Amino acid sequence: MSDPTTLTLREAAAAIAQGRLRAEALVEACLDRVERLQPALNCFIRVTAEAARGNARAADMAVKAGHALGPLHGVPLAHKDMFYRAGEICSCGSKIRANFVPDHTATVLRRLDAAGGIDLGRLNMAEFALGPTGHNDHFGRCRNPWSGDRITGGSSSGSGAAVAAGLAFGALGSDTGGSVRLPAAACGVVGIKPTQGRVSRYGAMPLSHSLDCIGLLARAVGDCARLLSVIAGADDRDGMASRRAVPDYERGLHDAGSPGSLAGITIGVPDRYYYDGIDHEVADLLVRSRVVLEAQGAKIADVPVGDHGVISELAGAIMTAEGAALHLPWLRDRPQDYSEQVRARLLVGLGVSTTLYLQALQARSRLLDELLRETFTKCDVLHVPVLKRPVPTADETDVGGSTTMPRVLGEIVANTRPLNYLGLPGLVVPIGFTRNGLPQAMQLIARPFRESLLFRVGAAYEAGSGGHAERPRSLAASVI
Amino acid sequence: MIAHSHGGIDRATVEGRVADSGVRLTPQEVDAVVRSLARIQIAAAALLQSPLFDQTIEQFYRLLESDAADTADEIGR
Repeated sequence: MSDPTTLTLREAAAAIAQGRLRAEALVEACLDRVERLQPALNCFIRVTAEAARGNARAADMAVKAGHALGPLHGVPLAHKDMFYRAGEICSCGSKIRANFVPDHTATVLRRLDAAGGIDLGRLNMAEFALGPTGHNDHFGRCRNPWSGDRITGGSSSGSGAAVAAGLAFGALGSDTGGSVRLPAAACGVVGIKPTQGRVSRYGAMPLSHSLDCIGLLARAVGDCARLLSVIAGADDRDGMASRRAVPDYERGLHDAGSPGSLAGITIGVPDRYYYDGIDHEVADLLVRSRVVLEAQGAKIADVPVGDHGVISELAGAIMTAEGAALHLPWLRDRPQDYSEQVRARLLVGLGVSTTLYLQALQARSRLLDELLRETFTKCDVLHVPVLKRPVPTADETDVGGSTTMPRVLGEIVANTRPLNYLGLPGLVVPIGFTRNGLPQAMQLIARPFRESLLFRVGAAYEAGSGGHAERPRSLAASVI
Repeated sequence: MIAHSHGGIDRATVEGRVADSGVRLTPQEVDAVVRSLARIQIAAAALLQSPLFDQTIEQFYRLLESDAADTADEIGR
């Protein structure tokens, strides 16, 4: 096999299970790429190479012995540095927790381990997952594999960069206001933010308990579907995790490319907010993506939505209030240990009144109900941009604690934050490139727990547009 | 330093709230907080006019679950 890191996650798992590829060889290939590309990308905080090698050898022995294999058997993964593993440092991208060693392991890590995934290490992230760009004053900025001067998106910056660059086949991220979807979009990979409660948060660093959601990034829609099938579902350790049965998210994806595979599905284009003020280049790519979906049999329709700009602000109020409450002891005693931007964002939460905070939470059911009745009765899936403009440079968004910082960051999360407030699932799929060579993406949104439908539409788009996400061309010269 | 009242947000109230938390802020930091709160307040004024009396917070989670149950078998999802 020429370069096994170019396979999709599902192809790699199949090759290992069929004895065509050794897990050890695949792990070595990924570690080799980590060694070569980490200096340029800065996407890892910690590489656990020896543990990964040991687990890969055990995986190969299990294949030889004919043992039953999990759906991720022998596949290298890496995860945002906010998922606890007992006895191992979990920095949360911060100085404050630089030496924090948890005494328990996150449910999502346990499930990935049980499915046979090989953990390569921990990935860079925004400090305490508070930041949509990829800046980190403590561990250094994570760089976009498509162009080092551009942002990766955040807060799961390392997850986006590592998956895009082929250092890992999939990665966990968290999404409180867009932190999975933004790096997926900016780095040109697929990202899923599931329905609120679909995935257990036990053992994951908290930021905002009302909005936090664990999600995934991978290079193909089917890969995300497989990973979500593994981590989703009820968890006795997390009372907020839904007890709803987990479907086989890969079911129905095999015929995604067949003609008319989206017949009977209506894709809705919101008549306001999500496309307001969009860059024309980005708009053109989104139009073309709808043409592909239409060619697969989907019907495209304009649909009404409410003013989701105000929803985004309410989400911000909830996130900062809950975040400030969690961080209060450190804000009092260790203010100097936060970066300027992160501290400034948390401080907003101290000013949110209890009444406003509770009313913002109370209004969620009404606003969700309105969207379900007035929009999702006219379409099955909403189609919206993630970013309304080409991926910005790091300098453009390096606004520290300046007075314009909340506005600039607010623009980046404008199209992602409403979903956290509404609790709905969102799938991000790459749709091409702007003239600056950076990827763009569409965000598909469905009713609660309709992740299967999102995967179906996303896979049909992939099939109709010539395949899954490309690997950054700029990396080729530096690696080969 | 910004005006006493900014977009309906009373600066003194914000200062008092922050002081109660025990966190020390510079006047510039208070300004930035007031500006962000003013934006949030405008959104809140637009969205939170209707009565919320029977809208409990857990109703949101019930709606997520019940909508999924109601529509699960549609178009082979």
